[in-house]
Amino acid sequence: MDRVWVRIALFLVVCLAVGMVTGASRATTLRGIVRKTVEQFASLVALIVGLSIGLWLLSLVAQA
Amino acid sequence: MEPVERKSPVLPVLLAWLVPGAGHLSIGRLWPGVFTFAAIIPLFVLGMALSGFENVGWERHPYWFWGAHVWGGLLTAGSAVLTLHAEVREKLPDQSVGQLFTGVACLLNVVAMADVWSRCNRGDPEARAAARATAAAAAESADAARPADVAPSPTTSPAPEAPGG
Repeated sequence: MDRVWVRIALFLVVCLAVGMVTGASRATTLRGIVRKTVEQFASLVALIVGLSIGLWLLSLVAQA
Repeated sequence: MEPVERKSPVLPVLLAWLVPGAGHLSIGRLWPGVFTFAAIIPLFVLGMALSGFENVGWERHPYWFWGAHVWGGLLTAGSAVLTLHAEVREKLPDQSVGQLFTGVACLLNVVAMADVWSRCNRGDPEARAAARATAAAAAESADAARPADVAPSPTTSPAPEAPGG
């Protein structure tokens, strides 16, 4: 079970890094960069979690 | 709209490739440079640590190296040289995740390089957005003011009264 949490933490770390770079590339001021970083991080996590849930549901349908 | 001051992007993009964040600093953009540096360097180092510090090398992992790691600039060069004779002793549990992390870190540097290029040629994103908003507001106010300037057309004007009532 610990490995699962490690993997989740690593996933969040890479999402944060991607969010920081894409946020920094869309703004100039510190306030703008922080806002864009949070937006990018949240949208990336939501996208990947959504895709994962979608694939899991598809696999359930395929098994049924 | 103010004209964008164009700078030659060659040197800033080269600096951005060599050291993550240095390209932004060279064009006077502190916070984008700090964020780029703070995102890429820890991700790269964490990836190397997860892989046992052997995942960056043109002999051990040529596809990763020439496909992704090469965009890391001096970071990749230093890591590859320092771990030139590293040996894979054991299979680590997150080795593939580490490989992915270093690859993503180096590819994120491509995003930063593209941003430096764009800022040199087209200006800052926030300035562009502000200029677009100003232009849209100006166009909207011009549209709103237009009917008052135009003389009424004959079809819409009221019919003249007949002489003598």
